[in-house]
Amino acid sequence: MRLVPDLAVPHRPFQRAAGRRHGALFSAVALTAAWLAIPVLLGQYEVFIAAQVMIYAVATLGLDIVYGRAGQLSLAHASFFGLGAYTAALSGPLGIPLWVQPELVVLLAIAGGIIVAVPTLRLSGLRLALVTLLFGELFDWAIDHSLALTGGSQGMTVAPMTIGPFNSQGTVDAYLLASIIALGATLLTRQLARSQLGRRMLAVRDSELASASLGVPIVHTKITAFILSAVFAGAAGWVYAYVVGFVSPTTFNLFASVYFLVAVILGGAGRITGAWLGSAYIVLVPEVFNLVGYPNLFPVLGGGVLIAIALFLPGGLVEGAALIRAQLGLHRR
Amino acid sequence: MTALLKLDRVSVRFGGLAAVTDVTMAFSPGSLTGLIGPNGAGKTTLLNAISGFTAITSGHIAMNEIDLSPLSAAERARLGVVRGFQTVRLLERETVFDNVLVGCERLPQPGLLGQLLALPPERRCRARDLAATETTLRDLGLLPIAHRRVDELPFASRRLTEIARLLVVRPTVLLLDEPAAGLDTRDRRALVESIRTYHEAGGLTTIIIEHDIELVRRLCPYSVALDMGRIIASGSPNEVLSEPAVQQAYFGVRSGA
Amino acid sequence: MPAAALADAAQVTLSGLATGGLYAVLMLGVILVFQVSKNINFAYGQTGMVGVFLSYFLYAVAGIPVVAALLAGLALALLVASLTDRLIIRNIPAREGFDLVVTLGELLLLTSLAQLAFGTNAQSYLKLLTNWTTVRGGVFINANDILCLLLGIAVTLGGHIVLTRTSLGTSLRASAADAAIAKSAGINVLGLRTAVWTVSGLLAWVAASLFAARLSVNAFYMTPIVINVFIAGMIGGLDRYWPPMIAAFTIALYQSWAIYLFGEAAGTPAVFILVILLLSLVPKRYLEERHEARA
Ligand SMILES: Nc1ncnc2c1ncn2[C@@H]1O[C@H](COP(=O)(O)OP(=O)(O)OP(=O)(O)O)[C@@H](O)[C@H]1O
Ligand SMILES: [Mg+2]
Repeated sequence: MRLVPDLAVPHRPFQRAAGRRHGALFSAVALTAAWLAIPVLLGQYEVFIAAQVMIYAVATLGLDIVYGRAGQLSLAHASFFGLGAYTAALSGPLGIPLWVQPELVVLLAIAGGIIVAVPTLRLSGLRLALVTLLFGELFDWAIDHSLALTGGSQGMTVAPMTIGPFNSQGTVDAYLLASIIALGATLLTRQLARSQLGRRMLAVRDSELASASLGVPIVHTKITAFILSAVFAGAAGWVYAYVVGFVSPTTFNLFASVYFLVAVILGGAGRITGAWLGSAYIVLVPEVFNLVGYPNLFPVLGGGVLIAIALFLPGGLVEGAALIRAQLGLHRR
Repeated sequence: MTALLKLDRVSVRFGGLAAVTDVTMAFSPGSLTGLIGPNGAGKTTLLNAISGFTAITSGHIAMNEIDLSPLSAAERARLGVVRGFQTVRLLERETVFDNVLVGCERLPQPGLLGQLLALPPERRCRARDLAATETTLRDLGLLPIAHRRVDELPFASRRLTEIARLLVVRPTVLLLDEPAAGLDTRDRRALVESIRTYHEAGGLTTIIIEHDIELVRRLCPYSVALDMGRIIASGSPNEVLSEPAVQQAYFGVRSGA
Repeated sequence: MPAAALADAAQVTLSGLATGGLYAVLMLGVILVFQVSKNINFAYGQTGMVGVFLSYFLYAVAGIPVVAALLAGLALALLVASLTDRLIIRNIPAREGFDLVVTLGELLLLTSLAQLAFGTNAQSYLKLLTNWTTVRGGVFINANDILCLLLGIAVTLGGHIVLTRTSLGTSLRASAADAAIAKSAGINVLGLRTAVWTVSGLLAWVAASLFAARLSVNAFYMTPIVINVFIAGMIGGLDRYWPPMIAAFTIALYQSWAIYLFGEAAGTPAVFILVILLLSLVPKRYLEERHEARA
């Protein structure tokens, strides 16, 4: 006698893996085809936007790690993005060689991640959110008060990264650069989801009591999540500055952090596809509003979307799609 | 036989409320003890004290002569003292399989880079964890629902998932808080069988809080009754239940309620 | 100490305490809301801001009498506050940890709507006594400063009396401790909750109006103010009364001294340093928050 619901059809979980592998192969082929088609079929502007979607996807995956998986609300995510961007922007004037910069970005991101994460040793929830918010304000302040170096709120232009014939502000070059980090970040996140570290994060998010009862090192897990998210955002920001060629504080303020939250929640917290969908939203929709001449509508929509998703579709688009599939009976049980 | 787990004059107070007072007990390796008592007797508090979820006010708790007091709940879990909760706590949006897999936390795991880059040690550990999870799911009959999300499952399956998560790495001390609450007769019997089977394989010391006296009678060779934070009787379940103090505390309260 | 320095010191202290008075007004709303719904409203400042902007638009642009314009602004603030609870907070799924996030969405929504409706330029609002000044011993005493300070003290004492001495306060504390028990004791928990949220709208509107008189304002002006109030609440603890109220005054005083001593630029980092220092020095017991219900 078993403690499980009676199932009409015996279900063999370990055979599903094969079916899954076919699905994965199919998606891989489809994605590669789309990836090749974009620079071939679309114009310069569209390819440039596609590169931005990929860059934002990296940063969104970072927020998804700390908020979507580990459940720690960070309101400083755009600041970490900015940390990377300003490292690239200031490298020219400060004469920092290219090969040092990635290491520098990672080190800065780790340091920033630790500064924000250390309060997690003692805080959670609301207080933690406020400390991250304050950290974001401090970043804004630092940019505004280093006028000579950063141009303050006016922003500054960033010289392209050039290696031989490669120029980060060339369309195809930018697309390639963005593709590389996007692929790296996606694979890392996928591996994270498969690893014990990823499951620890889910445990910490869902119940700290249960985590402790399993032996999960809670503080260690939270700090790791913060550091990973900061590194993702920093790397994305670094590439962003080189690709876009201009940085200004509005890209990295509290509202920008809220947009990243919108991206994570809209797509579906804790889901890689969700982070990609969310990043497509925060890059493409403002462009659409710009094209039709109402750029101011994007923040209104962003606020509305955040509230609507929280109220009506807490699992985000990914779960919404799953629900619809289940409704249509396409979903085999 | 020397005791594995020893409680020596353990007391827990919440402000003015004495939830547990001067409890002294010893559990030998492989023992299976039922902890009974009316509502508010202090059973859960005692379990919290052993598992590190509540600080004790005075006394000593030791396992294998190691003082547990300075250790956090997570550290005690890594020593093999694991517990279930009176209310089931799971990773709600994940599958049964992943919920059990997360219990492999207590096995050695590779470091950050090893896990993120899927280096060979990570692959070995993953294979080991997957195998352990599959075995546990099979033992508890959960395989058919292994890939269902836990938030869409009936309570009995969720309870069993929680227990599987505790058993996937063999604990030294297993603490269960009313595991049968909310289960129907058939599921209770299955649960008893599962716990018994695991127990007979050896090496597991179990303390189980249970209101279902019949279940305690069937499962536990030894039982302890608590009332108002104190031990009022101990011995075989039948001996304990025939104690006047237990009749008074337990059934008195029950029939009066 | 030379008289001029003394006068400066008195000036800085007075204006710091005046700001602190308004922080205290806002803080009372934060504490009350936290008591009944165990969360904070990131859009709290914007609730007052939209009211202020509406009245500005009505009297300055549409030419409606000032009193009517003020009342319309107040009504809007009350409406926004109570709807925040009725339509949003009460309906979000508890488990998902969205309670912090949704009001960020509302912050974004209200700010950008205000920008759409009223433009992005800074405006100056009603004077509300800011133009009445006398000089006493070299100190400029502004009637608005005095008003803010007195209002802050009055609201702090009034809040204390209502919470501890009236049956309303008892009901409030009962439903804060355990809504289910309060309900079974015959307290109209939901009605009380709506009332509290509406009162928070009133407090936000009062503070937003007085701040608008002191500064030249755009749609963002309440955000840094409310952040400081939240920080004071975080330091004091929102489940207490006096510590966060005193923290509200203290943080304003601290910041105005930091600005006086180290220049305008020192405001933000001074608060950051204070918070980091306090968080690392204060005993952990003091920082304990509501936890998951015990096993
Ligand atoms: N964290 C706590 N703070 C204050 N009092 C507590 C706490 N935990 C338990 N208590 C009190 O301690 C006493 C013992 O509670 P405990 O939960 O241990 O009882 P129990 O025997 O498990 O009861 P039940 O059968 O209802 O689960 C009760 O009076 C309870 O209210
Ligand atoms: Mg109990």
